[in-house]
Amino acid sequence: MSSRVLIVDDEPDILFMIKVILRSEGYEVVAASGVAEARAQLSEDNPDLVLLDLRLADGEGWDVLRDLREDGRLERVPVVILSAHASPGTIQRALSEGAAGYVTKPFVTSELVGAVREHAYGN
Amino acid sequence: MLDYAIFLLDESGHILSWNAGAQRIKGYKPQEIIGKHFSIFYPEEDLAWDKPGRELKTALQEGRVEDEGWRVRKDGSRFWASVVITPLYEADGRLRGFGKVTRDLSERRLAEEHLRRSEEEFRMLVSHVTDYAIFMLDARGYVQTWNAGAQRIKGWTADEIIGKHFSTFYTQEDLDAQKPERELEMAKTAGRVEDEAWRVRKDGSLFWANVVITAVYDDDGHLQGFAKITRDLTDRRNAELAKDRFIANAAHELRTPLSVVIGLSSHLRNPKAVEDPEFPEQIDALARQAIRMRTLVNNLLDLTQIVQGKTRPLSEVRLDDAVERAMLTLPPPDGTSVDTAIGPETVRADPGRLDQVITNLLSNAYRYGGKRITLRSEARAPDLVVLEVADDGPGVSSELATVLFEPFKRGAETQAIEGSGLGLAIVKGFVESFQGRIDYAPADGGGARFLIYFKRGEDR
Repeated sequence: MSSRVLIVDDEPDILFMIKVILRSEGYEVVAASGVAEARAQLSEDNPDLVLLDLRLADGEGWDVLRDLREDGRLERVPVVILSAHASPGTIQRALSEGAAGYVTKPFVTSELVGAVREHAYGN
Repeated sequence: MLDYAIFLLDESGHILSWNAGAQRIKGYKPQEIIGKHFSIFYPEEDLAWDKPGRELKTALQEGRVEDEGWRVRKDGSRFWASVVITPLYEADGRLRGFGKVTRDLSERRLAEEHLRRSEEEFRMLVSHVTDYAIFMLDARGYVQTWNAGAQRIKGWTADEIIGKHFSTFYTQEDLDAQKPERELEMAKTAGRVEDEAWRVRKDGSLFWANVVITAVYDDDGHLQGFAKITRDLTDRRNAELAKDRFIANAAHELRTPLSVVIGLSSHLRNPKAVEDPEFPEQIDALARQAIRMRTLVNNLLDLTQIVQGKTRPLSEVRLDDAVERAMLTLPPPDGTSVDTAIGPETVRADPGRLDQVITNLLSNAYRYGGKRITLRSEARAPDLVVLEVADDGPGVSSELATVLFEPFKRGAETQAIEGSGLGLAIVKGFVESFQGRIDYAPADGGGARFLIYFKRGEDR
């Protein structure tokens, strides 16, 4: 059975691109375009990994990260942050708030796939 | 000894000898002057109170007399002289006469006068400079002088601040760190210290200051005090910060399209990618994001032109033609209607930039506005044409309305809609380059409404 990855990003073409890349690597991919959609997905799903953008149209990725860490059912789901923010402070904060990894945009395929492979099987 | 007139007088002041210096300075030859009384060298006003006689008397009493004053040459011209008269005695103590040494100080006096005047001018200059605070501190840091610039930048008048310690200008944080003392110490050691930091005005507000403190020594090498020059760089700092923010924003805006282009193109290198049924969509996404980057780069170039104040020659453009061109370039999407009511007036504009202004407002209305869009024009005053672009959509929040025309300000509700965040900044810049103005004023139903004021062309 293939691993299932939830991608949360408000840019349709980013969602599309990640979908294309991860599918070709054999992952099953579910997409959410914002905080609300992500919460809806997570309420009925238990993905093997969440790829999470921090700046979303309807709120902040930080809120989704906190939801996940505080939910008994989902607290072990690894989260990889996918963000254009590359400051050490932001990366440090993400890791201390429970993110498993951090990939800065723009990224090449191997960076994305590497992070997904490392963390999706790591839990 | 050409620089000194050295000659002898007898006990009553008649000239006994004459040297080459005396001839050069005073103009008399020996045969013309020997035997004459030395009062001949004094100007009338001095003769009136018998200055020559008094000087001889003083020389006798004091052992010598020294004087600086005007003396008269043979040709009647005056020179500024330094004079020393010394009584000379015979071996038996009888007065033999006087030795007189005279120097022409006219040049020195001129130089001194010159110096005095230039110091005066310099003081005037410094006191009137308003762009720089220039003032003196004594060796312990107490304010001794104050100029117009210091008053303008820092707020205190000379009366209020002279005598106060210069630490008054520092923030509490800098005082805790003993920065004022350290800066004087450094100026003493290194001759000069420069700092760029916050300083405090009289009203307690802060300004970003460039400060240079220079140690001032007198001729003997003793520390006299410090010269302090302060500039207010607050505006420049704000401009630099705004520029940094702008560059950070532009880089950020480029990241998303770059991510897609880099991500998809590295995926598409896989030979099997072509077999993917979604292959055409992948190519489309790639092209779409490349175009988005082109748009962003073009927008940045437009804004750069605006910031640099580059204008294009204005001509008279018919507004109805411009609106028609925009509608052809950018036809409304399905379900959206555009009503136009544009008069035949011409406006002062650059045609290319005007087209960009209208298509930009139109595409904003398509993307963020409602389904009914109206474009109307109205000739108001004899030389004013107003173009109104309105829609029946949700309009703009009041917070966003205040920063609507600033670069990279976008409403939260529009984040998901593609856009560089530069469009309205460019629209505003272009309209202003037409010597016009753009305002945002909500439409009656709450929708967005932009009002553009143009200078009317000479069509009347």
